[in-house]
Amino acid sequence: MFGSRFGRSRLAGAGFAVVLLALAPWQIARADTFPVETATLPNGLQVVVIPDHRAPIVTQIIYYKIGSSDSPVGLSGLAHMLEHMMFQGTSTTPGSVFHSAVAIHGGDENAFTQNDVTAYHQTVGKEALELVIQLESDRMHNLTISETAFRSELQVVEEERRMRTENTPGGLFSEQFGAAQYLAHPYGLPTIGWMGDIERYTREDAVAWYTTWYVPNNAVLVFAGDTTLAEVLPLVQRYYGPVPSRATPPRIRAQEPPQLAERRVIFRDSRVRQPSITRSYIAPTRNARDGMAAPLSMLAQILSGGTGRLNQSLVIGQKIAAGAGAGYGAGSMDPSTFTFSASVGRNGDIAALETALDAEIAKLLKDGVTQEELDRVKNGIDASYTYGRDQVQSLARLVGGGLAIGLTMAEVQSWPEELKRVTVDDVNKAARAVLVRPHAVTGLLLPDTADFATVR
Amino acid sequence: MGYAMLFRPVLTAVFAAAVFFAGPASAVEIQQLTSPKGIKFWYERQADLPIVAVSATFVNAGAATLPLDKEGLAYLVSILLDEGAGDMVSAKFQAYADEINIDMDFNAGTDNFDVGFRTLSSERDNAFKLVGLALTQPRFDAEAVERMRENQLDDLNRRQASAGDMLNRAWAKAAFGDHPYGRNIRGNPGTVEKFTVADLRDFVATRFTRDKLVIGAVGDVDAAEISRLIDLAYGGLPATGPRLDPPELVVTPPTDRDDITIVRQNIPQSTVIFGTRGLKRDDPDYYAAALLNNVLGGSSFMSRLWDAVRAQRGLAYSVATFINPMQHSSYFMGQVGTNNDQVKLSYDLIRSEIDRVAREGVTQKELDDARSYVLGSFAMSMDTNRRLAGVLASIQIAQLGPDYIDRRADFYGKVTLDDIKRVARRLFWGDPNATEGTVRLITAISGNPTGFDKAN
Repeated sequence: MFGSRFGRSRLAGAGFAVVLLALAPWQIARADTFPVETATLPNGLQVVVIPDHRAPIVTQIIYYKIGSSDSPVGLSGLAHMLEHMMFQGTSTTPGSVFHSAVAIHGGDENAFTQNDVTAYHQTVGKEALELVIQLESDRMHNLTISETAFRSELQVVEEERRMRTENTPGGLFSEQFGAAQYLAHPYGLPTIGWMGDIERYTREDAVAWYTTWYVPNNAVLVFAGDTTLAEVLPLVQRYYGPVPSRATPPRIRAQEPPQLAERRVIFRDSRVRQPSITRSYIAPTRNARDGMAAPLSMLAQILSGGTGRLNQSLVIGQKIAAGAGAGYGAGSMDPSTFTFSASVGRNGDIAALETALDAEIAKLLKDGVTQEELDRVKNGIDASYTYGRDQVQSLARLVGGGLAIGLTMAEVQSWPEELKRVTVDDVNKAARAVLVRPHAVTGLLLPDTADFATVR
Repeated sequence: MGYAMLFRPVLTAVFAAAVFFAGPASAVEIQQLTSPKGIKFWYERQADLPIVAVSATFVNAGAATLPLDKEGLAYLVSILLDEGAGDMVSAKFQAYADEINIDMDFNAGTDNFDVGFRTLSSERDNAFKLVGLALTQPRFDAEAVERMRENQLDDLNRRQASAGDMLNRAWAKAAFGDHPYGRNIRGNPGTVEKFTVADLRDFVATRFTRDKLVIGAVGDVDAAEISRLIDLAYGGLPATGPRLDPPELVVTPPTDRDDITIVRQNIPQSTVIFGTRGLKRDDPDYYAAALLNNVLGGSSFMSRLWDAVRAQRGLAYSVATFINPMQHSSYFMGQVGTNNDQVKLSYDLIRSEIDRVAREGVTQKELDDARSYVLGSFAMSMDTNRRLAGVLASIQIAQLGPDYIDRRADFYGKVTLDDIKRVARRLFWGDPNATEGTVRLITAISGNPTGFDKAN
């Protein structure tokens, strides 16, 4: 539908012999979606352009199809450590030259590591587009990892972990909760890694990671903003084209065995003032292609938000919760979770809240959702895409993230249509298939009594 | 699943973040319009997207305009504005807002009260009317008031135990004392419990007036149509209200030592916020101060503090500074997080960099690079229609005039090395003309830091 593409052709050594076999931009211009152009280089690099000419700025995002959950056993979070090293200079662009080159143009840049992907992005004025293409392509194959920089950045990652996780009860709780959710799959490991694992990383681990996974045939490159494929492709060919491809090993991850026993995680911390409850069930994602993801997405929305069922019942109706909602991630490679969460107010009763939440879930499974509830949520689908178009970087992430976890462009684009096709029956069937007690982990974040702070 | 980034801009800070205007002349074409009912506003037509975005601010109508016994009232109003208006009770109002897909945001700031929203062009009449109804005929039904009062009290209770909140409160107390800027936007249980519906109505009647109103709008409709719409939302507001501005206040650190408050907590990482006097947006030295801040600890990865604390020594995940020009005061502030044992080292490095910049100023290259960043990044701050509307409002709030976008390169271009040194001495030594001085900071630390037992 969007032009024939190269598979993962090998381009041994022939640095600049870039030939683009076929290029057929696929454009759609409906109000609720957005135009996309795609191409693939002979070295396997997949290129996507989302044109938006409202402002003279462009975002480049490159997704590597490797994430924290692919980290070697005992080295959880190694993917994230490498993300940090990617800013430490290359054989042609030492030290902080990348940062300063982007900064001089007023650009924004950063990177993020998720369980399935690692991504790097810059937003710059159009005049600096070639510069960021050059810089990003350079660190795809010329990265240098010195022992000194590695040791320094390792400390930074430890401080990052302290800041995000160890300093807050919520951070510690989520990590413990996540570990209980997965019996075998590495989604149960913290994205940033356990502190003990971080301390064990060596420079050689980082080098091996980089050498194995950072190749053009393992990446999706997205441009969003004031450019077109016709304009950017020659630059992409010039800079990324010469980067040699190399076969990547299979991504082998432990998969979940059947979950037969429900689990309960109780975390106490003196800084918790108002207890909260989390109930989470293993759930399939779009990658499973079993038709469950769209109904589950609609279900999460029916339950959430001010007009959602949980807020209406537990907060406004029964006045037993201070807040309540549900969440579901449709976009991961392997099964994610469908999660309920609620907290009590100052003098609330967490046991009573759990009973009330159980009753809501039981009612949902017995009576299902209503057509009216589903229609309310469907009414927002087109609008959310229209608002999404105001933020072209978010579209770039939608497309890049989707392709990087194995969806096709057609699947990424058809998501709103899939959501609109969902019926009440689909939602109820999905709810009954997923909200099964032996798949559930219940987490309680509770106060402790000890004094926690004194101001001097 | 979670994610981790190389760098997270931590500094949303105690109060609203500073807004810096600068950048290359972009394609912004501001129309200064006056509605049929006489409301002046700025507009940019953006025909590519079927939405209308509005950023409206009631200037000098925020939390700092309240007397001590009404601390927290502005916040309660902000969370009640979508809880019923006109003949629509809360549930009806929210269901209708969902139905027309309006995206509304009411925010009680320290100085100002913001009312931002986006609507699909197809629903523009309904959306603007709904905002008008919320501002002029809020219901404040007993059920909604009590429910949101509980929400606010729960929120306060949670924040009492949050390390970040305790830290910010400690710093604000030290910097602003009994001035309204030292108070909590969310109030305290003693005040919140006593608010009456009469208080809420009085706030709306005296703060939501046209003489305090500043509007920036971006949409796909023509000038006549946006003018008609503006009247639908704001035409029913009273023309004038009382001036409620708090007194002017100059933040002043002690002369003989740093003013250090430690919020003791049993956590592995200490968070430090440090600051001193800043300067206001209409100060002639504002542009020099913005460039100084950029070199010292501004938003890019290239600052002196970033280099000294993170890049060279790996002591923190992030370190950054900003200047917040408020309506009636101003401050310079920075933040860093380092493990308890080494936080004193980070703090000493920061102090020594601040001292060095006051003594020596910056180099020509640093000035040029900072100028280049600040000018270039302006375009990036207008990357969505919603943010562009916000920039149009911000320029008016700062009373910079519609030619500001064209002139800002000139304002920054005139800044000299001597200007930067003078401003550094003014901020950090307290005297722009001094040839000798000592840096004094107002500092708050949460955690269990070692090495701070003796005063600096």
